[in-house]
Amino acid sequence: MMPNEKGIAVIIGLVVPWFLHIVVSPFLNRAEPFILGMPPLFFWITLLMFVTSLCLYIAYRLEGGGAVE
Amino acid sequence: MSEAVVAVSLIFIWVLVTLVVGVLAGIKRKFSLEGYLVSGRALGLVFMYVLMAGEIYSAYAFLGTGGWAYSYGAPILYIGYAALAYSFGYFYAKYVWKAGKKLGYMTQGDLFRDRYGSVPLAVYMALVGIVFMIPYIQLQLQGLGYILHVTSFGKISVRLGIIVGMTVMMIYVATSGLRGIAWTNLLQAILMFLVAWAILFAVPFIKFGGVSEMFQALKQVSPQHLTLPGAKGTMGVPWFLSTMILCGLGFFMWPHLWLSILGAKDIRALRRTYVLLPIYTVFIIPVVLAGLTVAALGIQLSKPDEAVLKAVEVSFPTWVLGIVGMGGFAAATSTASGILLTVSALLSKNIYNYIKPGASDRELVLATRIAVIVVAIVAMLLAIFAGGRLVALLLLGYSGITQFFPGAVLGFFWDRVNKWAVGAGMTGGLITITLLKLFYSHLGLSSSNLLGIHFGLWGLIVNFLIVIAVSLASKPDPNAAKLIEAIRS
Repeated sequence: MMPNEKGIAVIIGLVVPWFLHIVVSPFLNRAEPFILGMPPLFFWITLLMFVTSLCLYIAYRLEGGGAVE
Repeated sequence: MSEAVVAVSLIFIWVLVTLVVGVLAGIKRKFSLEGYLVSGRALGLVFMYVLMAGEIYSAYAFLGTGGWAYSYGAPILYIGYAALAYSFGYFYAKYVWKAGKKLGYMTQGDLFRDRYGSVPLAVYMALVGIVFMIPYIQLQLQGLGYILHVTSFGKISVRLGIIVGMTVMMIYVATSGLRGIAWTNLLQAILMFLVAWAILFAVPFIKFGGVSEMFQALKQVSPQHLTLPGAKGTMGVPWFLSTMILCGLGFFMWPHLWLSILGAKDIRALRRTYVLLPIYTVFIIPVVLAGLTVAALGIQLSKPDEAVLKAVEVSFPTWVLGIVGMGGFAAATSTASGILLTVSALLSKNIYNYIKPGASDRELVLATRIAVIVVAIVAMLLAIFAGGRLVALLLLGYSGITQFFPGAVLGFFWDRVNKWAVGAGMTGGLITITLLKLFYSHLGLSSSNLLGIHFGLWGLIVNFLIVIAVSLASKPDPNAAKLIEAIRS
């Protein structure tokens, strides 16, 4: 495993989800507009559950599917 | 057959199935301590997934989450921390697993004992863990008793519900250890998933014709529900972010999560579990929507924790409550059984074993099983005779458990951290949260959340500062090399 791939995996799997939750969320704290029927923050937190899985999956692929250690 | 009889029968059948599966999982085995506590480090993706999923969603997920959504609205979205916890866990848990595999750890206390070379520190850690985990079992039991009481139309008293739930757990945990918990959690996870999506998700559609329509109605009734700081105006953006940070970091400090991490058969299974777990957490959204529906209907509840049950009651034929009762039982036992085993493991492995160092493996298995029974009875008595509202207890526990963070995370990477630093930091953190939570008015503060930031995070900040200062001021720990070596190779 290349060292820089490991670094990218940490950025995508760890830094990105934390950034999206902690830094971006406050900007969505408003009543409108509804997105898919939900106020922005409700939509955002729900969406991030899927996004975080996707980020971790990318990290997992970057790390060679966990087979290589 | 009356609806109440159907509901009680459903619950009864479920309790029985849980008991049988839990006992069968381990009755024929002769367990070594490793087999009993961490299932011989042999669990694959499916069991890992249901163990972890069962642990994050407890009785609290049904009652507390719905109740908060009903009472406060948007602040409940802090539950998004679960995704953050798994993101952290993906990168962290592999070190715990490697250390466990190579150095034979079975509990968090083992790490503290070995890494910092100090029995008193390990005992201190174990005691703090136990002190915060027993209320957590109690909380689950109260939730369980309450759910069974309501969903059986009062046929099962709260007290009987608590006794039945605890007895069932005690029997299958004592018999089958982590294997029993893994097998029963498999059943529980499937049921909880069905309850969330087939029943609770339908609630806003039945009452308002859709999620969007429900939110429109809520906007008319109580627009404050839609944004932070919520309907009571007390939980603003700083609270929201600090709570997510606290819970996201603190989640993997819960000692019962360590048993499931250490139970994994390899790092690949561990990683795949964490990749898939954030998707499972979407299951909490229907619970939130059900709670909000009750708020949008303008229903006044004397106990907010009834919101989810109320939502089902106003949307479905009443016997459906029986299925929710099964789900509530599943949620409570899947969490509480893991904690029960962990508390017992800390008692036997990290306290009894230091008092009696020569204890054989067989003796420790026996000691753990006896501890399971004793702890179960203590928690049962507490649940029956000592009350308390659900979420506040959970948040206090979280703040306390999170104080393990520097010792359990920094210790893997920084050889200067030693027993003095960890002990002093943990003490400072615990004092901080206790002062802020219980004595804030004496300190002249208007809330325990100083500057709107969750008190537990203040504790963690104080803890970190002490750990860093003491580590830099004292000698590096000679014990550190072994662990740091073990996780690198």
